[in-house]
Amino acid sequence: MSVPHALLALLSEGPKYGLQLREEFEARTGEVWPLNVGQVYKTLQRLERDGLAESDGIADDGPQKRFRITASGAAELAVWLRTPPDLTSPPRDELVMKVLVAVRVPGTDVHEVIQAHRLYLVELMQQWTRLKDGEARGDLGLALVVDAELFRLDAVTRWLDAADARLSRAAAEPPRPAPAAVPQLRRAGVRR
Amino acid sequence: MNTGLRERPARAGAVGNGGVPARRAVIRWAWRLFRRERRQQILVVALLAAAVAATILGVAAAASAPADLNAAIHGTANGALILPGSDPHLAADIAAIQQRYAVGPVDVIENQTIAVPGSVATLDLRAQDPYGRYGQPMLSLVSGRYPHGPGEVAVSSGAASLFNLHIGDTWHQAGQPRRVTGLVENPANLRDEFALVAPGQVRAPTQVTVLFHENRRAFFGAGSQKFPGGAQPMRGQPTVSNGPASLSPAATVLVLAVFGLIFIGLVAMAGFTMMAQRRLRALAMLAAAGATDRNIRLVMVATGAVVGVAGTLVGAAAGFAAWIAYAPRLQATAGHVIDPAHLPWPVIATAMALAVITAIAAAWRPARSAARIPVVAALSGRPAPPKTPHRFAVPAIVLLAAGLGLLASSGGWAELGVNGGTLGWGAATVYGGKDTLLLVAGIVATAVGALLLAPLAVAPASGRSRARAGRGAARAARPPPLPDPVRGRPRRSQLRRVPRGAHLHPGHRQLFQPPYLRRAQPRTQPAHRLPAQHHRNRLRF
Amino acid sequence: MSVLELRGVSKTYGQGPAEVHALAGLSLSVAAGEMVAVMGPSGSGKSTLLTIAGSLEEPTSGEVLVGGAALSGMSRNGKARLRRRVIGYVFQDFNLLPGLTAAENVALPLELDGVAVGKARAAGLAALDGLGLAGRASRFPDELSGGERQRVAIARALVGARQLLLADEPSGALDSVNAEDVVRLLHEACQRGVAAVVVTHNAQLAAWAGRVVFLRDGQVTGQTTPPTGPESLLAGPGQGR
Repeated sequence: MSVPHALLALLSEGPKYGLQLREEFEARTGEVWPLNVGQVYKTLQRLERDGLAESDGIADDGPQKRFRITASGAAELAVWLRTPPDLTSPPRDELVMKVLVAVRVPGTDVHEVIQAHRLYLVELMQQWTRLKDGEARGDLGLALVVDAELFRLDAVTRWLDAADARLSRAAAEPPRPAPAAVPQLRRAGVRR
Repeated sequence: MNTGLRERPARAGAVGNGGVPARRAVIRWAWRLFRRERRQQILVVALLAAAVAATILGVAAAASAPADLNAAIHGTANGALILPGSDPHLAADIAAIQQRYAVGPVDVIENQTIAVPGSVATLDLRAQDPYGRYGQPMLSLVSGRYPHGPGEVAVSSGAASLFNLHIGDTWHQAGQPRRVTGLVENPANLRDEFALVAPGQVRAPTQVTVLFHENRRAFFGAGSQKFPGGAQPMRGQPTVSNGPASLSPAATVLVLAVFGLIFIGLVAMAGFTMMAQRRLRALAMLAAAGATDRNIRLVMVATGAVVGVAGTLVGAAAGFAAWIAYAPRLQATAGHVIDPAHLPWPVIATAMALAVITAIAAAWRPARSAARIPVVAALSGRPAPPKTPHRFAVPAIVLLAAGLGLLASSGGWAELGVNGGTLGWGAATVYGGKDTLLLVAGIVATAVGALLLAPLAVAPASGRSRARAGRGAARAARPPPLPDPVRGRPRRSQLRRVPRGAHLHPGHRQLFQPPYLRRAQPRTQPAHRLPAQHHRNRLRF
Repeated sequence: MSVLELRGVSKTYGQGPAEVHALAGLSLSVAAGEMVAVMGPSGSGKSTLLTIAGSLEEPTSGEVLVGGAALSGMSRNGKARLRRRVIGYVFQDFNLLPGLTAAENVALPLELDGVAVGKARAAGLAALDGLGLAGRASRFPDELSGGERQRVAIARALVGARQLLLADEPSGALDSVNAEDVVRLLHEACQRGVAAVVVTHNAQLAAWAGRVVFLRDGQVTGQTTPPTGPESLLAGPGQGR
């Protein structure tokens, strides 16, 4: 989660105080990702150190300190907005691991494991949907965030369905010979 | 939303089967579908139109063609006595006839045979009252006017060309000049060539015909008595014999039309069956929306009725137009005047009604089977295909061949007829018993044979083979197809076995391989291999 | 009283080796105003559940009660009447009759039930008006977009104050925006008192339901429980990465 860049984006609108930055960040993101003050100031210090932002220089660590974006900060912001994140390496997903492992743990029905997670995910999605129907009606920012979360959870349930089907099918069919060469995708490294 | 959805409109009737509004809605939809599917229905409509048109033409021709030869020689009178021209007491004899045997006045026609110079042919000089009581069917004016007194004559067209006469010319015949005042004809027998003069203008008649309405008792009670003046009864021409195997021509055409409609009905039934298949999902949708079986049947039957009416109307228009165009030519062949408007309307109306009924009846069976197909199967679009009727092939072919043979041996229409065997409807309607039986038997056999054969001819058009019928029926009973290619879906208990006994071969390229587990041997192999495999298998990230 | 109740319903197709158990002893109860989503893999019996609940098929064993009335003893005409007055069906596609306009399609169940043409048409127009489709009321189905067609189908399934709505993948053929419109319509209908059973493989749509039931091999393998307290989604630690 690129908080520094988000702060830079807020600063690109004009000079702001640290507390102001925190409030605006939370408001714009539907208050889904609360930031604490310390995190904000640490990030601002790092931005200053990297020359992407500058402060008034009145007092250190005071709430009166106003921050401003620099030219290189604006350039950095532009680059960040246009550059897609590195998605080549699959994250170390706990759920995926769980399913893979459950297949071979003796005494475990992997389908029951999948069903338990599916149930949990759908219940979660129900809550998010209720939120979307209620609070998020007028709040565009919140609606976007909720949508993103719903799609993410949906993607996971879909993977669970696919895994379910694949495991069932594999159980019923004899094994097929492996193809000759498979591209070595998974060696690219794990994303942090 | 709005309250429109909440209000409960009044329901019609306690039975609640929809009543008139439901029928109207269904018929409206059937009509709309017909308009959209016009082109697919064109075959049946065309066949029906052809049948109706042919029937109308045939019936009209059959009814009009036979010449009523009796009308040609004695008009509407049913009693006729011929007195020799040489009778000295002509007038008295005529009066005696009128008094004794006639009811009402008599009509007197004097004929004198005159020679045509330079030819063997003779011409009939006829004295007849054009407005006589019984002679109307025998005489009509073509142009000019009737002759009134001495010195005037009207001639038939043949006589006019024979003597090279035109209206206004003077004709010298046997020394007597007469002015030609008009052209006449005998509408009941156009080939009758004669010269007409006013009554009493024939000086030396060859014979005198007395036409009257007979006084039955007196006439037949007379037995073999002599009539006054040595009169002889006129012998009528042979008419339609009322033998056991004869039919009026118009009725015969109708019978043939019925057979034709049966064929067309079969084709229509196949056509409607295909139409029902095309509409199957829509009909199922209608059922899911709450239509009863009767409503669904009504859709198909209404379509049948629309098709029938359309075909009949087109056919009627074509038939009448063809008849009006053909009538003059028929008149020339038949030799008597034919009035196009004089048609056997009841027979024609029956034919048209039969055509509509055929279409409705043809839609009936597809309607019933469409209503009976389970909704779920229909919605997934895979009902059982129709059975191919192979059973009747051999008997049908035998019957068809026999029927054609019978028809051939009966000689058809051409042999029968007094007028020298002319083809078509100019032939008089005289039948011999055996030939008629052969004819009728041949028609029936051909009809039944073709009846049984027709479904076979139509079945390939629907594209279903018998081989598919069996599988289709089983498929129809099942739920929609599963995209899961798993053969024989694993039951819950089998699934449970999989993870417990499962083991994974280490696929060095893949994340994992399908376990080596066969359904036939669920437990033995995996349990045997599990410990050894367990060490080797390592998931790698 | 529940609007729909299935007790121990089983459905078997075919015979012998080709035997398919679509449903096995399934029990479900749906109350008025409740929206139940049914999820499960293909072949789990979801569609069969709907066709049996909607009186389009008969179960091999078990009882089905709609509005308190048992379906087993009902005549075909009785079931047709039920489909006109109580049950509304929405399929994944092909819901509307070609040859009838949108308004006529919506008015169809009323007309089939004996309501005069004028009144039925007015009710249909009113329903379409409520969906914002009044301008498309006189169009034929092939002139409407997929989303419009499904909304008209829902209007038809609800017209006449019907109590039970059965939807089989109603948003299956639609993009996400139209899909959400459709499910919102169903949700609003449920808030007005309609009971709905929606079969879907799309978790996002199922999440709109008050209860999600999971089906597998013709049996219920789980169902969500409604939350007891206020949502605590946003109170947890930040979900940033």
